[in-house]
Amino acid sequence: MAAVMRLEARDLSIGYRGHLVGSDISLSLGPGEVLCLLGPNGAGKTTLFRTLLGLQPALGGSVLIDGAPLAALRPAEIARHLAYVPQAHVTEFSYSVLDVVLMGRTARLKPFSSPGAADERLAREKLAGLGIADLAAQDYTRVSGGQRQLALIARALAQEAPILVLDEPTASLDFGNQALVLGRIRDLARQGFGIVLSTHDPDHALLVSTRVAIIADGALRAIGSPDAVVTAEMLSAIYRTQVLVEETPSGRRVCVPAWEAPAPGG
Amino acid sequence: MRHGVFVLLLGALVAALLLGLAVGPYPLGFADVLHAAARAVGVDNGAPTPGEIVFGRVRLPRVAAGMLVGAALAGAGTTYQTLFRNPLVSPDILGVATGAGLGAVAGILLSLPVAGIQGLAFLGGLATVGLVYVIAAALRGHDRTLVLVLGGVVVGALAGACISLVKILADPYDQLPAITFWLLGSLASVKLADLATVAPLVLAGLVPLVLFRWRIGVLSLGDDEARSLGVDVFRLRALVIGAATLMTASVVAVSGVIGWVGLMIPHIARMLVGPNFSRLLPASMLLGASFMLIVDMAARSIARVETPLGILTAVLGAPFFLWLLARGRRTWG
Repeated sequence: MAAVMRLEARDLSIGYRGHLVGSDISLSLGPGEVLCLLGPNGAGKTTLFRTLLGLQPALGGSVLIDGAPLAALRPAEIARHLAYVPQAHVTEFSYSVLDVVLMGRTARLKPFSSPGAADERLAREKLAGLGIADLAAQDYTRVSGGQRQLALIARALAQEAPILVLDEPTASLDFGNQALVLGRIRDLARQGFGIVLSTHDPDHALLVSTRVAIIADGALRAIGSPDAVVTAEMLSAIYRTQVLVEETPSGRRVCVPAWEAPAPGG
Repeated sequence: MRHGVFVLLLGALVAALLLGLAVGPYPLGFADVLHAAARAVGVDNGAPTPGEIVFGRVRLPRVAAGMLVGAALAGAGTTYQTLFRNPLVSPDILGVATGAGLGAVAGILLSLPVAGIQGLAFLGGLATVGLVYVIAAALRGHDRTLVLVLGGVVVGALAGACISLVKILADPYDQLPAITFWLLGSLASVKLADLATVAPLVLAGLVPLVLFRWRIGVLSLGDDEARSLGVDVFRLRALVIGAATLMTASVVAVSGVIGWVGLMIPHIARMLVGPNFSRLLPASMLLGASFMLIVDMAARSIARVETPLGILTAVLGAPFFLWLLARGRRTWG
């Protein structure tokens, strides 16, 4: 595990040249924390992610890694601090799962080097840690969506960065794979990783996050503990549909649309 | 097992090389080669045999050029396909080949010596890519890969139109046949001296591709991911495009325009060794060299007149391309 580290955004304005997507965004993340970004489509989550990762410049304010501005760091230095897990995608070429994970070692290699035996051992360890060691030799483009998502998480772990940034890690996964991926995310936070993830499902925020940030219309509407932020009023307002947050007999909170409950037996 | 394929590819190249040396309008035997070798080391001082002359002046330069051209086009094609994450692109994609063609036909129109034609071909190729890159840089905010490829198509089409203009202006009895023949590609008139200038340029283009082989593979994941994995995408891509273009433009300057090789060969190589660039590049170059030796052997043997290489590669390449499309897979090799 790498050194303890903090990711911070201060008064961040995000967007593209000539087009402001959002402003006045401040948040911070430390080890062991899971910050979940919730917000409707087009709210600016993706733009915020790209800005946090240094993939596009901030229009104002700054992103800081342990107090140092991200904008001053080279891509390899950023990659040693922040690991990005994109949505499970299909690559154009049929790399093996192990190849994909090995690419996570890039920022740890000298410019002209390729991964060696030690890197391969580490990549296999990361796969094993996520329970997919047996997939190493398989074609990345042919395994299931959930397995691809786990392989991308293994790649981020091979990067050995203390902070993981996951873009809708549960999108397009079936229920079982969603639970599997969320479970691994929770494990990683317990191991001390700082985790930022975005999701469309407020239940997922309630399941894994230590803090929730609500992004709507390019602004940070609320940030705080899941219980304080994920409320019926807030969800109803940002998703523009009536939502109820109810408690299950086991004490969990779940979000449901505010329709009439189906009649028993009907 | 990991190296088995490479042993096979190397064996195929040696076989193609021996075949290429022996077969042609003037068949050569092993004795001719021995004579030439003996003379080269100063053992044999008698009158050179006809076979020996054909070997030294014609066949050897031609075979060497075939290997160089095939390896360079296949290597550049592999690089472009990996870089643009598109298995259907080839060295023509950034307008390189057409731009180089425009330079060369302008040279023929101006009745320049061979070295002048080659120089202009080379400059034409580099200028086209430079222009495409400037266009892509001016259109920031769009998908960079798409802009590069479409920019290449546009500039290539423009260069093609200029080539047509030059053909109209050219002397129909003297220059036009030379232009037409050159545009279809041929190794018939290559001399060893040409290769001495082209080979170092190809090598110069190859060096960065070999050094950055791992990172070039990472680029195939796309800009955002490559950058988040620690690759300085903008600089590496500029360097790699420059290197692959140098390889393409240098060989086009001596061989003329030979299409399809840079598209077909990387595909076959990917089926053999997988998509990993570190393995794909050498496999593709070995295969490209063998392929060009065989095609050039056919070009000088199947008819009483030389068949232009571009025609043969198109006859092989077009069905291959259709076959690729028909397989209809979402991913490649």
